[in-house]
Amino acid sequence: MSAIVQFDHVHFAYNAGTDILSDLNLTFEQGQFYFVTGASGAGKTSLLKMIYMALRPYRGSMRIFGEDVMTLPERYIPSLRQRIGIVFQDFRLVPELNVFDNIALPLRLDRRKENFIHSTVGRILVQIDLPDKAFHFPETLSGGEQQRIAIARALIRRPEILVADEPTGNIDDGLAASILHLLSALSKRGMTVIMATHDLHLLDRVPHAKHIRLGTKGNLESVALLDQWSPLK
Amino acid sequence: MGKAPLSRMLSWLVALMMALLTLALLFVLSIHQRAISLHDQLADRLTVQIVEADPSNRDRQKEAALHLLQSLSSVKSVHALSQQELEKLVEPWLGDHADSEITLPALIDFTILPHGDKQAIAAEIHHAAPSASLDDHGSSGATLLSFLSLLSSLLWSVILSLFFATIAIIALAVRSAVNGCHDKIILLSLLGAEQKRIAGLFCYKTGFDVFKGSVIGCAISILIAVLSRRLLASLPTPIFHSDSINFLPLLFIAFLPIITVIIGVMTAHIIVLRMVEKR
Repeated sequence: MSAIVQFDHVHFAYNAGTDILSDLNLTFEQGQFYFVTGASGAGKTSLLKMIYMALRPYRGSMRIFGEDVMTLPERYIPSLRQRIGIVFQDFRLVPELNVFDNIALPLRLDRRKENFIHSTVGRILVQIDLPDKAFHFPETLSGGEQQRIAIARALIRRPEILVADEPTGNIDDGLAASILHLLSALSKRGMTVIMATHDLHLLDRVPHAKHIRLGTKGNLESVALLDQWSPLK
Repeated sequence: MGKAPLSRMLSWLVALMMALLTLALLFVLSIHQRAISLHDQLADRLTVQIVEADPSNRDRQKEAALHLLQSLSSVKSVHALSQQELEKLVEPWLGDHADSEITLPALIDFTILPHGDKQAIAAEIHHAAPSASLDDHGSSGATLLSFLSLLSSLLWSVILSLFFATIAIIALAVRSAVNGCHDKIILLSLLGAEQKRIAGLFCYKTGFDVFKGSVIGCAISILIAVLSRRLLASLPTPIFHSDSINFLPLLFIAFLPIITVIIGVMTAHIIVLRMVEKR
């Protein structure tokens, strides 16, 4: 399998403070499912933000889709981001847009034709089991429904990488299981799924996933296939 | 747009500033044009006044002065005031009995060509009519004209200040409006939208709001000007003349919304790009 994201001796800190991530060496391969775990403040969200280039390391090198993001000119970043789907921890749905328009947003930014947008969004609304909520506004929906819309928006472009920060944090176990099932199926079809979670119970539900555990000092504590992994004390 | 208070009020803020600016501009243009018009009317206008108690002598001198003025090449037009016109002139002060109790002077209004020599004409009139004195309207109206000129200059400086204040307020309001959309701008950036595309989206929205405000502001001020015109036109000496504004300044007023839209869009463009580049 080919490397899709590579961290090489990466250091990251906010405002030149203490390192959040320290000397990180990590490779994400295409079509794999990754759980990123660690204690609160271990740098899970920072790691994900670096993958979608919202943050940049201050030292080390980082490659995404083979491009060195440390030296990549700003104007090339949007084209890389278009290949990455992001599920934010706080959903970040646009309150003024209805469900349909929220999901269609990435396609509209790509200036896709309206008939393509309607068929694609209509299909994904059925997949997330919200076809009758297309014209509802986010504030009228439950946390779980908003979460599914956020996932649908992240998947609408059929990205090569899906980055999800605690995507099951606000939903019940049944829904969490169905979302994990969906993401697992997508990874088997070639999408790289990188999911940060604090809930170690979820790990058992995707047996083929890899587990990246970040230590409290922002270093990499372990990377293992889940079937080789045992909980650390 | 976002939820920042200024962003919600963007259109109305622009409308208010534009109404003030346009009204001030209309007023100044009117004053300016009126001053020019008054200057044109007064500068070359003179009146011969023959104060003579003996009516036959007065009429003889009046005829002599009239004949002289009509013969001079530097005189553009001559008008000897009739008895009725004289009585009408003094009526506000003397009432209806002016004709029977007081001897009125003979008056001859005349205008000279722009390069006419007033002193030479005065000397010739004095020779033809020894009791005549010459009243130069240009010099008697000079104080009013210089006051109007000073007022006009002061008002132009007010217009200039108001124009820059309008630009500053539009820029600040747009900045506040765009800052209110910070989260959305960042979201669009993270969703892979190109900087120019994001800037375009917010510039379109900002431009529309500013244009709406500008048009409302201009419309309000023109409406006020039209309504005021009726009141001001009824004054004995109307200053605010609609026909004293020429076409070119009105064209400038018509372009004001476009100027404000350009300022608003440029401000929004710069702020959005800076916001996205920080990511």
